[in-house]
Amino acid sequence: MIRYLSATCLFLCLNGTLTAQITTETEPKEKEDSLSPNEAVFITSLDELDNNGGDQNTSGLLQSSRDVFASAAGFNFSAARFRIRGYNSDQTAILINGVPMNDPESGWGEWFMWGGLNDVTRYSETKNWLTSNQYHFGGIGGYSNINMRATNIRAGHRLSYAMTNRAYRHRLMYTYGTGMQSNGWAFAISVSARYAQEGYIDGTFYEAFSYYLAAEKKINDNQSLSFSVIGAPTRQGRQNISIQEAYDLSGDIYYNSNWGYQTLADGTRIKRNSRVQTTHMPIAILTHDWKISSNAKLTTSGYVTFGKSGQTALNWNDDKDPRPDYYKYLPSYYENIGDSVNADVMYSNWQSEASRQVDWDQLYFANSKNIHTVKDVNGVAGNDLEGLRAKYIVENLWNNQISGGFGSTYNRKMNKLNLSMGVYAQMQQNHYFKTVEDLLGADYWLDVDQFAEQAFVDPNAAQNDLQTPNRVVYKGDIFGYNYNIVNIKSELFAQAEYSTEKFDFYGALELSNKMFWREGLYQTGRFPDNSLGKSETHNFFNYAVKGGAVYKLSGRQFITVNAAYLTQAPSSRNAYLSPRTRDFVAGNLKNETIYTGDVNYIVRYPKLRMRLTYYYTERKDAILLRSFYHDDYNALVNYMMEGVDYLDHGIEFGIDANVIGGFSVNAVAAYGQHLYNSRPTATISVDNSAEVLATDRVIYLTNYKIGGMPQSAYSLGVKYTGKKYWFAGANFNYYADIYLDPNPDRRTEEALEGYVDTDPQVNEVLDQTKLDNGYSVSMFAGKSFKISNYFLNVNVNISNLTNNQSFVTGGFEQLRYDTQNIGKFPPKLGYMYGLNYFVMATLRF
Amino acid sequence: MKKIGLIIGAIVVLVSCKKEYDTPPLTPIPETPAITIDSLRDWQNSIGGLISIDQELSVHGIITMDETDGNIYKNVYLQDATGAINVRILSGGGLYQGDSVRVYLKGTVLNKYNGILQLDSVDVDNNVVKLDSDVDFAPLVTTIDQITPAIESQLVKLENVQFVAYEIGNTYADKDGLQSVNILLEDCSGNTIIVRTSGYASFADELIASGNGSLTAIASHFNGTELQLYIRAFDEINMTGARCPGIVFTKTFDDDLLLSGGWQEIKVTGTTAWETSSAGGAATPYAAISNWNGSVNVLTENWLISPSIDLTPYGAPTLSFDNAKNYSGPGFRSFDLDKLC
Repeated sequence: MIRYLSATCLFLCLNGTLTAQITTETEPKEKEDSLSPNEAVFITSLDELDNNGGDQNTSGLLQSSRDVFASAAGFNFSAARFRIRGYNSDQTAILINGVPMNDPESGWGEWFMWGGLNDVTRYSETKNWLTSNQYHFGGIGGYSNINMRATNIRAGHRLSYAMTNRAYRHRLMYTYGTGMQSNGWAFAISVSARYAQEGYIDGTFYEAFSYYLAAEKKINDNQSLSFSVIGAPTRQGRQNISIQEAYDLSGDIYYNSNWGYQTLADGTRIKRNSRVQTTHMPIAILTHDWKISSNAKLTTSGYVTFGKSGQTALNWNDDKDPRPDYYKYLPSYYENIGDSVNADVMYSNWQSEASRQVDWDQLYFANSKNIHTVKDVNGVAGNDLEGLRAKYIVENLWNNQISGGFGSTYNRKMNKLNLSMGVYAQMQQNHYFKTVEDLLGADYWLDVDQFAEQAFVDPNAAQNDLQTPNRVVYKGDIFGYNYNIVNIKSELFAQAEYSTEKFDFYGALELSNKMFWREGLYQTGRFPDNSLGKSETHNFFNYAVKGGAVYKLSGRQFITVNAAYLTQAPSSRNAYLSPRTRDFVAGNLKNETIYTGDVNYIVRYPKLRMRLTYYYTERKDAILLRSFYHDDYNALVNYMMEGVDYLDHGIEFGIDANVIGGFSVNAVAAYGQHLYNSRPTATISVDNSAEVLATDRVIYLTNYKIGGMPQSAYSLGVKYTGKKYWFAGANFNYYADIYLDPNPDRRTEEALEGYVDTDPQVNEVLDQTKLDNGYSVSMFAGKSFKISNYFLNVNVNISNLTNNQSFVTGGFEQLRYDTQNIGKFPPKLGYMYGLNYFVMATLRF
Repeated sequence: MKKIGLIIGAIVVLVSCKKEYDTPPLTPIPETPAITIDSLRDWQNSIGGLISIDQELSVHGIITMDETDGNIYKNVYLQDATGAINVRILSGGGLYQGDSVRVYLKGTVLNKYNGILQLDSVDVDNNVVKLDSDVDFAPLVTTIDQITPAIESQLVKLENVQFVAYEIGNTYADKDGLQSVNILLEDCSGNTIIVRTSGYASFADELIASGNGSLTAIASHFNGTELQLYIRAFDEINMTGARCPGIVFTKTFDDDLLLSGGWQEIKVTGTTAWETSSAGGAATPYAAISNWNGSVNVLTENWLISPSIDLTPYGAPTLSFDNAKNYSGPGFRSFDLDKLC
């Protein structure tokens, strides 16, 4: 083992200098932001993790039961948002019954669609690295194939209850499978409920149900047909991260600005969350399995999914920002301008819980007196309406999908050769729009753009929908923006695997085509010629090749190499400059290029399992779109970077060794460098203005670290497996080199205008924030009992056993900044949860 | 399978049951005795300075100008039968032209700023009750020469006015530099008044109206000396009629430059020079000359001469200027213009 470790050291000398060549000039600039809710740029709050696989009992992306590195990394590193090889979920293919299910609009794997169905998804086949794959070309981050056929659920009943203190508190799950019956039918059902009146974070709640229904019919000895439906209707009150000052003032590192008290008619006060996520996207899939001969099979599936995904938020017009951690409500804002009187007022506001949270009663109060007349409602002259015009509302931002797909895979075994071929197609429409969720006591909301109203003489400019000007909207009505994004993707795949005594080889090819367009349902006043109707179709042809070899040193030791080269279409989610109001796309919309490879040394003895890997990945010409709310425009500002290159390389090491008896030790190390690797150019636009704030702005981003995850992570653990069906273990985990993702605009020539190289501010503006390294201790234990024909399993796992509450796991630099005083707009930070547990009892019968 | 269907159905129904939030019980803004705007003005005049109001009082009125067109920010104008007042609100927005409102005065501040009476620190949500909206409020139809500080902050309408000829082709304000700009408005009788427009106004980059017609605006002034008008909405500039001659040429010295616009200075006798000055507390600079060198009066003949002006299209042109003198000696004497040419 020592030898393996020293081999690691060779790779530890990966060099990387933080260099950003920048010349000087710029006037001080201020930008205000908060991340837009519908941009999946980074995980902005901790609870998303819980939803997406942070819970080790969920089938998360990081899990793989067989690989010693991936399983331990998944279990131990998720609390710190570790990402294997630095990849997002768009680089991992998610398959159901062999059909690709990644959202073609974003590229992401949408695990929330089947959240809570752990009994179904637990045994998904997952590989987290470059590998051969008999279902599909897969991603460079591997694949995960979930088998949803009824026969995948083992015959019998399974009832489990879990208690936890994470995003939810209770989970009840029941699963029943008939197995293949003599009449040729198999049925399976799984239902679960997850619930928290209040989760780990104040003001959050969780109400989720999940269902899975499957039927499988054996047509004859060689053919069967499966039909499965899954869905997970979920409502969740969400968490928001803040700046350190807000944590200090509230005395709570888990301070959540999303909620506030609302008084009921009887005088009691309830906690209400302004950001509630509602999702329900059922999937129905029909699969035909055909065993053509003893060594050939054809698997064909078709699926449809449709449903809704909404996230509420406060919206306001002609009044104060209702968000309690808005920068002008913080003492530091006034201290910076030398106004100690207001600084004191703000300080005392933060001392009371009610006034540092959303003041719902005040929002109702403001609405209760705002009598207003709207003239020419809906564009009808003389059609005037008088009533209470809402200053504040809760709106719901929807991304509703209709999607359908098809996949057919042919696998043939010949002596030493395995052939796989597949054809796939996916079509998806994402409908983006807003609705009025709650008028907060007012009579109506007027659907005009406040900023445009003040900025332009033309009264049409303020109209969000020119087809119905001066539109008055009520609860449930669509307003603001309304458009579809349609994606059509088709793929062809072929793979050959060849085995000899000493070597295994594989090679695979994929050809694909992707097209997308925008279809505007509103004619926006600011962009009357570029908003309504179908936009230009953007079409991309792509190809991908990969190959690999395994050299068998012995039956227990292997050296493997893998390499891939692929081009990848830009995702439509990143391609549009400002899709809410117009159909403009990036100036130079083109395919990304990825090349990647890894070398692995794998050991598999009964008492010793080990993997040591070096991987290298470059991704070129990506588009990165970040949006943030800018209060001067009362709208989203879109920061689009083109030509973003990424470099990820590093070492993965995992070992699991049985020392003596039931006692084993395991260690995992992921040492990596995840960097930006180019100077992208940025275009900055505002949703509600034709004015482009900047074009072709050069971002000096080379060698800045990709933030929001530890670049490196380590874990050391012990496990004891007892003879009487019990086990227990603990791990110490260490996370290193965590950076905040850089605000691109700070790394520009413009940001440094007015400074000379020797000014101390230059480094303040340029330097990337590095967070302290952190650690956590996790523990798990389980025991199984057999009572007549009943099997009872009890499992406990505890994360952050030492209740370490000083570990900042991530955050982001605000896009708002002041070059003269970088500390004025500090980054938003998120802390790791304190001690949290998951206790589950499962009864099988 | 039926049972399963029922379970699923029940679950979907359960999840779809969203809680409706009730409107919380709200404490209304207290009913109080009323005070008129002229009483507020008298109150401020009698005490002077800043008055933080802690009395249970309310003022009623109609909002005559709001922020919608961007010409003013974080303030509105309120008028009742007795007068008008500038109302400064803590955060922008929420009050609109035609709103009939009651402003609860407790917690607000009465003040005078640059000579204008204002009600400061008004929180629209917590100090203002809207009684009605879209109320018609007729402006005071008047003439330029009738506008005085006495009708400060009131809504006025001027008929048969035009912007002076030499401003045509300019914009109302500097939208790029976000600077306010003063533009002279005239009637056909030689009276003028400044129209001041913010660079943030939605119409700041529009070309000024070139015709003659009516204009609705708020009357104001700067410390009682310079009278000003604020346009409240772009569509209230109705100046498309035929122009009267108006001012053909003017020189204000506001730019603090003696010879701008092609003027020249000709010293016939002595070296004493014309210069611009703001001495005596003038709101804007003027041109001045003095032959007192500190000890004696020096013999001086020094002409300040305009560029030539083509008056052919005009029937009976007139020349007017403001002048003042100080100290002893003969005052202003008029020359026969013809004889000078």
